[in-house]
Amino acid sequence: MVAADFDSRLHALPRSLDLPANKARTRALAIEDAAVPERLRLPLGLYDGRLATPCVDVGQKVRRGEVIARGANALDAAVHASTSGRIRNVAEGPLPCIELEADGMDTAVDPAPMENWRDSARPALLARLAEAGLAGLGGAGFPTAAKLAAADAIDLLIINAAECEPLLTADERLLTEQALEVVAGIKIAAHLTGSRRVVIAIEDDKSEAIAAVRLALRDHPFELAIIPRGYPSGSERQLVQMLTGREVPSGLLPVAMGILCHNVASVWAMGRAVIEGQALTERIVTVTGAALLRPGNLRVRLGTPVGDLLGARGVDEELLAGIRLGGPLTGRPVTDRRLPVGKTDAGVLAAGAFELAPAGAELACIRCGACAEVCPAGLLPQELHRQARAADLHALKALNLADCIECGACAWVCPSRIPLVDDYRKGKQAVAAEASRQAAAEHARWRHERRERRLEQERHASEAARESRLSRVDAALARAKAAKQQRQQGS
Amino acid sequence: MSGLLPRRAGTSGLMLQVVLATLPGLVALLIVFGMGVLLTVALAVLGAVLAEAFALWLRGRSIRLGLGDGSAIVTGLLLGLALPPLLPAGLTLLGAGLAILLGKHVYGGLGQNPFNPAMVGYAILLVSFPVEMTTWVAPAQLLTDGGAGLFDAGAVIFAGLSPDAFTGPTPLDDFKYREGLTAAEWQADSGLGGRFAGEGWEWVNLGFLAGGLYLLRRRLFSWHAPVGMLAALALCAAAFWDGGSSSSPGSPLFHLLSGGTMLGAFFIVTDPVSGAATPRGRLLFGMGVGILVYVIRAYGGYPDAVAFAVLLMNAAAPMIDAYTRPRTYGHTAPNKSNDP
Repeated sequence: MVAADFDSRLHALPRSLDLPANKARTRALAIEDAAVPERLRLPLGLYDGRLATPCVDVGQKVRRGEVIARGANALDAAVHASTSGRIRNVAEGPLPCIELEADGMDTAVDPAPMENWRDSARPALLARLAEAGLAGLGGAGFPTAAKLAAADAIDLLIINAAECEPLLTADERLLTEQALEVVAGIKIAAHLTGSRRVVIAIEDDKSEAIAAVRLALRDHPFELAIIPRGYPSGSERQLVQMLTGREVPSGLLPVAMGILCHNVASVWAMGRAVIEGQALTERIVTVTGAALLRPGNLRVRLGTPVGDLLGARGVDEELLAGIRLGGPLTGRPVTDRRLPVGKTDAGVLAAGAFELAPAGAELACIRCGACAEVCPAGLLPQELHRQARAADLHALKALNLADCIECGACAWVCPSRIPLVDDYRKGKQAVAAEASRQAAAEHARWRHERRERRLEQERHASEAARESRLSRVDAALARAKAAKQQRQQGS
Repeated sequence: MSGLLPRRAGTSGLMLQVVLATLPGLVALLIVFGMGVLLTVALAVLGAVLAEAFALWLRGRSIRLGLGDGSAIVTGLLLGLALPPLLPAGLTLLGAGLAILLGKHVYGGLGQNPFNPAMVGYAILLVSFPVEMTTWVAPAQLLTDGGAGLFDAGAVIFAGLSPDAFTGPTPLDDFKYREGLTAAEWQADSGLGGRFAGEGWEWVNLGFLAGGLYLLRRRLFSWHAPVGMLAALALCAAAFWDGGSSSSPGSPLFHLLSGGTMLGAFFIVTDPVSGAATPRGRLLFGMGVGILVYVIRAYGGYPDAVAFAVLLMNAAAPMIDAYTRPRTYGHTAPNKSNDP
């Protein structure tokens, strides 16, 4: 059998952005191991803002792969020690995390492969994925086990290897060097979803990775979709649109259409967790940027501080326009270099000015509409900007703010250098806060009404009781009277 | 696949491009109407910049940043290009100042104005000083005697000398009140008919068309509004042309290359701030301007119509926006909510 190319028609995105890929510096560089830092910070925050609860004590010795924190839900991704050492601190504050001091030995727990995973029960496999700490490595960080548990009627499994954001080459290198391991992971995902069709989507400029995948797919019924370059082709909703011509309904996830998307690094981690029995303690990270002297694709232990990574590769502070954890458009700006690499961070950038969205003094929006021309969600970013600044929540909802995928294309093209995505995030927070305030008010009203009803009922009950007491008194009096009369008649 | 704007152009960079693109039209105006054009344009820019600086100072904003975006210069420039070349200096300064103050800053400055500031200034002058605003330099005379030089123009503009020696009706005006002539007779008799649309004005319009096409090619704006306006104007003119009888309102070519048509189509209706937001909306917006220009020229009392047509459509732009929102990804129907 030969790897089948995607045999359906590809659907062009109605709007996308043609960005300079800027990948040439790292795309040919083989993955290397980053040094294990002396001190690691393992974030406790889960994808939805909840925190995992530590299950180790300060001062306790741990080995690599040992679980050090767990979420409240059974399918939450566990947090592991990514090297051996001693727990130094459980930090709260803006970045709740467990601080681990490495002992330099890097001793690991024994791997626990599931050799006959095909025969394992589905709950056991899902439990393994959760226990191995698997979460979506593509950006959202949604727990892999929970995602798979909710997916029981899947027709199409999409493996997202688009990697459309400039500068990032981590997924491309992973595919190039470890296509077989990725395919092994895909088999597990396909098994768990029962999907009839599996499509691996990759942008057309990654020829080496494409060749490697083709080779690895020789004996598998999976399809390879080579999609045209265009940002944000790697966004889940846009990828579904490209491959199927259908749009994910607003407010729903692709699973509602029988489609499941997994990032390519996530399925690779699946294979490692199940077949090799390894917990997720490292990921491939592209460390690059115009201000970085020696860029590369590094195998980085989770919890490695950004500063350690950059320091090891040399930063030209003169050229440095900004540090990003993630890509140049969707990455988080880093001001504190102690910030650690997490599960979702595919890049650490020491970026030059031309690699980032335009910064500097913001000018007024002149409604030129450049943003609307590139918005993949079909929104009117300029209107959203105006209403977000005016904090008009009603208007924001009417303009479908909730459908913004925060890809950053609008801010990238804005000639007035307006940080639009910041506005939208604030707007979404305000809408959410308002909704929860309303829910609280609704709840308070409900409780008040319930109390009023209860008081009313109690009042009724006590009145009824009084009446019945009175009527008993009356009856007793009447009986007494009657008895008296009888006695009088009798005497 | 579209990244509309050249990356890193920046808002002030856009303004610079617009200024450059007016050059062919400006040169044509200079050749046809003499040095008064340069003085009027300079005065309008000066008035706009002074008013902008004053308003920014009043509002406690950074004058350097506010002037740095170049929008006040563009407003003054566009107003200056639209004004009669020998307009007294005081009126030019007043119009430019009011354009900035009443057209822009009372609404909150750049990006907030519902009306095109240059057209606000123009309309205020036109209704307040109808005689001065309709006193145009005669192009035919200039072409024969070399026209009003810098000295003559300065004397009229600054010293209040009567411009009578240089003035004459515009082709649009003269054609409208041609008293029973057919279009062909007017073309032959009036001396204002020009080669194909109107003496002098046809070159001015072709100049602005060239500059507009340059901007379109640089993708500073989309084609929708200009094409909408020009197509609607040409269609209206074609529908009522009737071959050029004595009551014909003029041929499509005549309307396309007369008065402020091309300046309006490429430099005024393309103003993103006061126009519609989406491509479809811009097409409708431009068509509305085109239709109104024709209606006012053919049946109204003013010699040209671009300013009023643009202002009327500016007022309609928010409603156009409410009905032309794109369909959001994942929604079945276009977003027709009228709320914001």
